[in-house]
Amino acid sequence: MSKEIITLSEEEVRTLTDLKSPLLFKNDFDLIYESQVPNVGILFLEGELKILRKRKILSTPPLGSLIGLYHLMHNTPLPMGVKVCKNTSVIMIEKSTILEALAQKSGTLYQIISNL
Amino acid sequence: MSIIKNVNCENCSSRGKGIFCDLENTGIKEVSENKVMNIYKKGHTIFHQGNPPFGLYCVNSGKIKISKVGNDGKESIIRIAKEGDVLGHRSLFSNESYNATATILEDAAICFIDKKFIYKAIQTYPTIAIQLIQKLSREMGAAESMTASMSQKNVRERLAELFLMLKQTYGIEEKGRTRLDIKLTRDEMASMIGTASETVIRFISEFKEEGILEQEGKVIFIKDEDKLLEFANIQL
Repeated sequence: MSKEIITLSEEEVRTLTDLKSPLLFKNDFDLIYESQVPNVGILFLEGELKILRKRKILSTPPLGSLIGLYHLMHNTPLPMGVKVCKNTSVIMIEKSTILEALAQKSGTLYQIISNL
Repeated sequence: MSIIKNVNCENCSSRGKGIFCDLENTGIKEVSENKVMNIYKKGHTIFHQGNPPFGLYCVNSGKIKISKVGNDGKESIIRIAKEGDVLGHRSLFSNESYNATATILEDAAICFIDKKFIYKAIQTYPTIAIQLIQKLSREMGAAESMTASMSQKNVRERLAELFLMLKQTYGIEEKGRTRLDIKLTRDEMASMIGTASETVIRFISEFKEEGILEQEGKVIFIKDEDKLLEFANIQL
């Protein structure tokens, strides 16, 4: 399993969407620049995301992809950029949420983190 | 894979200037654990007008242009942020989309602190809320002054006022003159005072002829502040 992008099951996506509200991006935006530590983990729900390397499109991940969680946890740079396209919905998994899940040692997010 | 050098909030050069400056060691350590630091290159965008906020940005170093695009598609520069400044707080707390775009002017080290942590930290450490209120009040005062300046002053006065503001924020005293430690294009200056770049070029030439400004390459020096105050129509 790639550490940069993991694909969650429908059930995992549903659990996370129950926990957190999605954010709708109305404009194209570089959520993560290549070689940066992600500010948040990104769960892709709807629309279009682009994975970039050296400013070229490497791939477009499928819905349900979770990006950058491992690198956020370990404070390491993501070796690719992530661009969110206009009218795309994502859920942000913040560092504080990860720290909380790690402290509680339970829940869907903790299971996901444990499998990374 | 390398680990980005992560400056602790305890040792941050901006610590005394931000909204966390009144926090004791435990609080500042918590902020430090929950933040993410990144280096942004010139031209990178921190946040974009119309998009939803999901955290705060604390500037450790560098300069960031905060600009807004109007219905006519024209860009107006609202302000230039620097070390110690906090960005994105207004939209974050009003639960509105960003009403401006933040673009890096000079390579910057910026820390991101997520919304969830900020809300929790405010409850635990009310001094953060007080600092935020003070910051918002100062910004509102500055916005009111800007509105008054735009409606009451002519372009020449506004440009003189802009140089005074740049001197106050980015001025470095050097041999009887002040070097402005920021490089702005004529277009950017024009956008900050609501005029055309040709007009800015004309008045800068006038300021140079009057001995108010000097220029070496792209660096601008302020030579005569008293005259600049006079040109800005500011009574002290």
